[in-house]
This record gives sequence, structure tokens and C-alpha cells, in this order.
Amino acid sequence: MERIIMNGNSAAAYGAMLSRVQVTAAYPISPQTGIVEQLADFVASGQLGAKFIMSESEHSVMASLIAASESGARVFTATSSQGLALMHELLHWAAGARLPIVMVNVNRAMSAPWTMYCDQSDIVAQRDTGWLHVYCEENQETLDAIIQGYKVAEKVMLPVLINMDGFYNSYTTEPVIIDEIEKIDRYLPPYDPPVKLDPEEPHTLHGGTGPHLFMEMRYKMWQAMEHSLTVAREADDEFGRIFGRSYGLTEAYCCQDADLVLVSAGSMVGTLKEVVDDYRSRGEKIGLLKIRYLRPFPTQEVCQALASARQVAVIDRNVSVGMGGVFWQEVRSALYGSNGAANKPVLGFLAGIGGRDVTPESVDKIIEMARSNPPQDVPIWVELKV
Amino acid sequence: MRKDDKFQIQRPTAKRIQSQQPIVLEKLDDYPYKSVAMGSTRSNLTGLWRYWRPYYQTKRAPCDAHCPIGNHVVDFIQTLIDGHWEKAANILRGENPLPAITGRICHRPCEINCNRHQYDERIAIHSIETVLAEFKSEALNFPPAEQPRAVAVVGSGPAELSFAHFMASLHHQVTIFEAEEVLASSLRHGPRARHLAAGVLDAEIERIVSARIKVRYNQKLDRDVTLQELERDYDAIFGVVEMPEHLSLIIPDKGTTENENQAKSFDPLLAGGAQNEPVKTPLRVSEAIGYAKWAALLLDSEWRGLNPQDTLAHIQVGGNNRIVSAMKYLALLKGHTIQRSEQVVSYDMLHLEFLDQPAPSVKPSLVDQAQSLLTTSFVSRDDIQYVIQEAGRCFSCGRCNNCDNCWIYCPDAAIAREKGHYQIDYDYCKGCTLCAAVCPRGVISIIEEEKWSE
Repeated sequence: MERIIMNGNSAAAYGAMLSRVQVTAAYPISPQTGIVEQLADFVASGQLGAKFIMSESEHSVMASLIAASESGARVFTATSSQGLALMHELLHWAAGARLPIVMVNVNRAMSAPWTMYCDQSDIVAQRDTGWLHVYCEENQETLDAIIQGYKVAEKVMLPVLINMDGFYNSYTTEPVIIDEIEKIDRYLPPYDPPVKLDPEEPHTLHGGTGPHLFMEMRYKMWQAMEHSLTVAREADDEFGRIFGRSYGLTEAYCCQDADLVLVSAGSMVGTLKEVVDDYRSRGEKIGLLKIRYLRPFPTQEVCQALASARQVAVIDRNVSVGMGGVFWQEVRSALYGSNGAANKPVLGFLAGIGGRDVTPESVDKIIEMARSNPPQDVPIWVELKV
Repeated sequence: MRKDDKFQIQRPTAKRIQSQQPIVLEKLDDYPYKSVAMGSTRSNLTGLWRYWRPYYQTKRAPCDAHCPIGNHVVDFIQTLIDGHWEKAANILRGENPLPAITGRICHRPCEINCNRHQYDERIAIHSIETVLAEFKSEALNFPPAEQPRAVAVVGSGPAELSFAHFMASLHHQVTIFEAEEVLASSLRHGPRARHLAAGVLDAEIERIVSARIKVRYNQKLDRDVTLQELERDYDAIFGVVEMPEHLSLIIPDKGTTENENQAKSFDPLLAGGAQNEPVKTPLRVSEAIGYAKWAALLLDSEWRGLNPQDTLAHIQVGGNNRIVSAMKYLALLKGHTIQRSEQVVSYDMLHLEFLDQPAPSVKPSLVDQAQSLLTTSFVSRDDIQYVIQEAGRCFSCGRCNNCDNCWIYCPDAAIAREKGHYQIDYDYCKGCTLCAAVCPRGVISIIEEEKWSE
């Protein structure tokens, strides 16, 4: 075990290397470029025995990874924003084809106007593609999420998309623990799919499927996604036992007696924890719920964590224009009709859109606004110039 | 989870594929976890959708159809391209007993009608023929006649030599009565004799005569031998014997006791009540050879108890009843079915846009080489090179030369290719007829499915 100071991009590349990925294809795009560079270094230096495919677009990246995965290889890539959007149709294909691909999205607001900066609008837009969605708070978590991602993906045969906040994680250095590869090998055995492309035993894959067959295939996918909740919990527990770090599908922080629970995902959670500690030190009952899994949505954990809260404030770093933040919508629909957790005010705050800093002072304002009983049916834009 | 039954699928085994049994998924547990084929689409006989049925049918190229001798020009050219020179020579000599002569002095109706003429320039078929004539070849091996007949051939021009050749090949005893001291004096002194280099003619005659034909020199009709003597001693007399400058085939009527010695002119088609016009000489060399061959084959068929009219229908080439094929006659005698259609492939029937880079026209220097062929008696390495190039330009009209277009383009992979043969799997051919559209040489025909069985 060694501890290295590195940024989020390096941590992601290390995660892929430690997972012994066999094929990686990538197209560089800010703020993900560091991952591609680091992976290329690993492959060139022989530290990672993978085939590195230079691709002409993100669409080709995903297409080649789909083919490589079908042939039985463990595959990895990373992208951002417009690149992720360019992959969109193939994200559906990868999930429908039940391929355990793991991808990191270093998020970045969708243009136009043209921008490089952080928000989650790119990744929440891929919510319904059938991938597992994991949101990471810091660099160690990103590295661990990749290793866990393969563990889960290869058990349920669904792809995993891991979110890293652009700039806040990708370019921020933190100490990251690199565990011994032998330990990781024990946790993550080589990938051996039940079905793969094999000239010795040819199969037709994903041929034309009529209405008499398609619906059950979707239902099978649905079952796998449902099952992944259990698999993800188990994988995280096992990881904790071996490496001493586990994250849960959600993390409830000081929620049990909280009057107001803040809910968020990604790098902003770190700031929120500081603020909660600050308020708690003054005796104010503020809690925090960090959501790691957007898909499958951990409804049970969320309802449990929010059961005792009198008020919930969801802070989204993304906006579904015309409705509000996606996490806000998800939390509201999870709570609706649930035992005990229903019918409490769930406020939707939009903060940090397009990379604007969310400071402790911004959170103060959010708490202050929440306490003023604002309307619950529309999102509240934080620190908007009006 | 790896051991979980959810990931177990029925793998498509060869047995399952061959059985063509459809896979039925009745309940969720029957489904695979991902959309992988569990059986084969072979259970879906898409060939049932077919309206048009494509099928391979070898046809006649215009060179074949216009050759008075009935040569299979495309056959010997394509066989030569495949590197089988002796086999190609067999195809040539099977139909034409004098290829070294015709290659040099024929009026070349094959080339006049060559489809490539409309594209750039005709194939120099005569050069190919001249070179091929130098290769070793084997005569057609006809089944023996039940009762070999004695045949007299008077004179030794191309027609007489051709008749003698085919009659001898058909196992009859042939005697040539030649007025002079050498055979084929018409070719030696005729207008085109200068094209026949010394030795070429003698070699060709030797091949025909060899040990199987008796030759009596200095036997001029009406001077040294009389027609009555021939009619008495022979079952058939061929040559310019009855009318001056006209070829006749005389069959002495020995079957009736009343007119024992009365001969009659015989046109094998007379039995069918057709025309009986003697053939006027001099003929063009290929026409002479072709007419004599026609007479010989039909006379033999009469002697074998076949109906000449039916025989002619079977052995004619390109739909022309004055042109016959010895190889088709051989097949008929052996009871082989002949798959070939005699439909002539016109230029419009070719799909040249799908040719894989047609070979360029011949370079002028090589054309000179072609000219030199006519006056020399030997074949050089340059000649061979030239002939290979020239043969490579052949469109192979109506004859498959394994270009693979059909096999490559078939969108249903319903064409199998094995050892140079293609086979359409009609269980899965939907009848799009793309194969016919991409066949550069018009080999693939189409027909409405419901008319196929007729």
C-alpha cells in the first residue's frame, strides 16, 4: 500500500490500471484529458498490459469498446460533456447488450454557450440509458468506485458510469491510497463472461427482435438493475472488509434527529459536510444525505435517511430545464407514497450550475431560504443575479 | 451470480442449427440474459418469400454461335486462362480437326461477332487457336459403332479431311481416294496457301490420317476408279462426286433387292422431308469443315438408329441447325444430360460495370506478333505470352469463370461456393435477383418461381 498525492484524473487512471483493464479506447476532452494521458503512459510503460485504441470520436470509442467487451475483454474509457452526448445511442446499446463496461465521466456543463466548467447536466441526461450511475465525492472514492464498478458490472452484466466533478475533482490533488495489486486481484477476479464472441462457437448477437420477444428482454434488464442494488451493497461491504473503505449507496450524515436534511451528490458534499459540522457545533439540527447511486436509485436508503427530517433541501448541480434538478425529482418521487417520509417539504435548490463555486456561505443562504418556507413546487436558483 | 441460472443460455449447436427447429420462448426463464442467438435463423425459411428464382445457366457466346465448325471458343479460352493448356487443346480439337489451318486462314466470324468488339477491340481468337493447335491433345473417345461401315472419301480438301476425321473417330473404316500424289492440294495451291507455313499443313494432315485412315493416291474418279465401284464397295461416299463443284454424300441403297446397285444422294435430313440442296464448292475453309462434320455426325446417328432430326435438335450450337457440336454428340451417345442453354449472349446482356477491371487492349507490338503467327510454323514464348494476355481479355460471355460476384453480393449469404461451383440455397434465397444483376457475363437467369416447375 502506498499513498500518493494525485488529482482525480490520475486516480481514475489508477483505478483502471488496478482493475487490469484489457482494452481502453478514449478520445481526449477537457477536463477528462488527464485520464487519457495517464492511461497512455501506463500502457506505454508496460504497467498496464492493455490494448489502447486511438479513436476518431467518442462514438467510435464506445463502439469499439462494445465490440471488445463482446469478445470477452474488460474495457474502460472516460469522457466528458459533449463527448458523452456523442456516445448517447451507444450507451443504450452497451446496456441492452448487457456489457459490463466501466466509464468515468468527468462532468462539464453542456454547451451552448461554450464552457469547460463543472456541472452534472451532461451525465444526468444519460440517466435512462440503462447504465448504473455512481457519483463520487473525492478522488479516493473515484478510484475505489472503478474497482467496485467492475465487480458489480460483471455480476449483473450492466455497464457502470462513474461521475467525477470536473475541475473540483479532476484537477484537485488529494492523497490517494494505492493498494497492493494482489489484494485487488483477490477482490476482482478476471472477467469471464457467460457469452462472448468466439470464432470457435459463433453466435448471432442482438439480431432483429420483434414485439413478441423484446419486452421480456427489457424486463430481464430491469431485473438485473434491481438486483444490482443488492450486488452493489455486497460489493461495497466486501471492499470495506478487505481495504477498510466503504461508501454505501447513500451516506446519511447526522440525519437521525435533523430538522433539515440537505441532499446532494458529487464534490459539493465535501463542502456540505463542513457546513453541517459547523451548524451542529452551534446545536442546530442540520443533516446531510449524500446520494452515490442515481441508478439504480436506492429508494429504501433515501426514505430511511429522510424519515425523521421535517424538511428536505435537495441541492442539484444540474438542471432539467422545465422541471428542476434531477436529484430533486428523484428524491421527491422516492418519498411520494412512502411510509412516514411522505408529505414533508422537499425543496429543490439549483446551485453551482456551469461551475460557479458553491461556498459555505452559499450553503448558509440555502439553509436560510429553506427556513423561510419557500414554494416547494419550483426550483430555487441559488445566488442568481436578479 | 456466475453460477446463477439466469446466465445460462441454450447454446446454438451445429445439430440444433441443422435441425432447423425454431426456438420457442414461452416464459421468462426460457429467455437468455442478453440477446444472443440460441438457435439458428435457419428455421425461418425465407426462400418461401421468393417470387423470382435465379439459377445458373451456361449460355452461348456469340463467337461460339457464329463458328461454322461449332467450336466452343469461350470454353477453350477460359480453360486456357485456368492454366489447363492441354485440356483447352482437347476442347478445340474435339470440334475442329484442323485448328492450325483455321487459326491461320479462317474468315473469323467469331471475331467479327465478339462482344468485346463493342467495348474496345475484338479478342484475337485466331491467334489463341493457332497457338493451342500446337499443344498435345486427345481425340474424342466415341462409343464404338455396333456395325462399323466402310466410308469412301473422294478428294482431300478441308471438307473431305473433316468428314474422314469424324467418320474415323466414330470408328468407321475410312479410305481417301486422292487424285494427286499429296493430300490437300487445294490448300497447298489455293489463294491463302501463302499463310500456311511449310510443315503446318503436313502436321495437321498427319494427325487426321495417322494410322486409322487408308489413303489411296493417284486415284482420280472416273479415271482410276468409278463411282459404281465405290458404290459397290462402300456404305457411304463423300466428296465432289455427283455434280461438278458440289459436295455430295452418297449412300448406296443396299437394303433393297430390286435396285441393288442404285445409289441415292443422301441428306440425313431428307428423312425429315427437309431441303436437299447440294453444297456448292469452293467453300470457305471453316464452312467446309463444319458442313462435313454436320454430315458425318448425322450420318453416324442414322446408322446408330437415332432420329437425325432429334439428334440435330440435341447437338446444334447457338440455335443454328447447320452448326453442330461433336462434344454434344458424344454426350448424347453416352446419355449425359447437357445443361447448357443455346441462348446467345448479346452485348446488352453483359453487366460490364461489375467486371473486375477488364484487361486492357493488346499493345501494338503484340499485334505484330499475332501477324507473325500466320506465317511461321512454330510457337514461341512470346506467342504464348501474347495469347495469355489476349485470352485474359475475354468477357467469358455466358460462361461462369468463378469471379465470385454472385457469392460476394448475395445479401442473404444464400449462395454456397465449393470447388469452383456455386449453389443457391433456395430455402433462403428471397429472390432479390441481385446475383443476376451483378453477374458480368449473363450466366444467371431468372424465372418466376411458379413457372420453374414447368
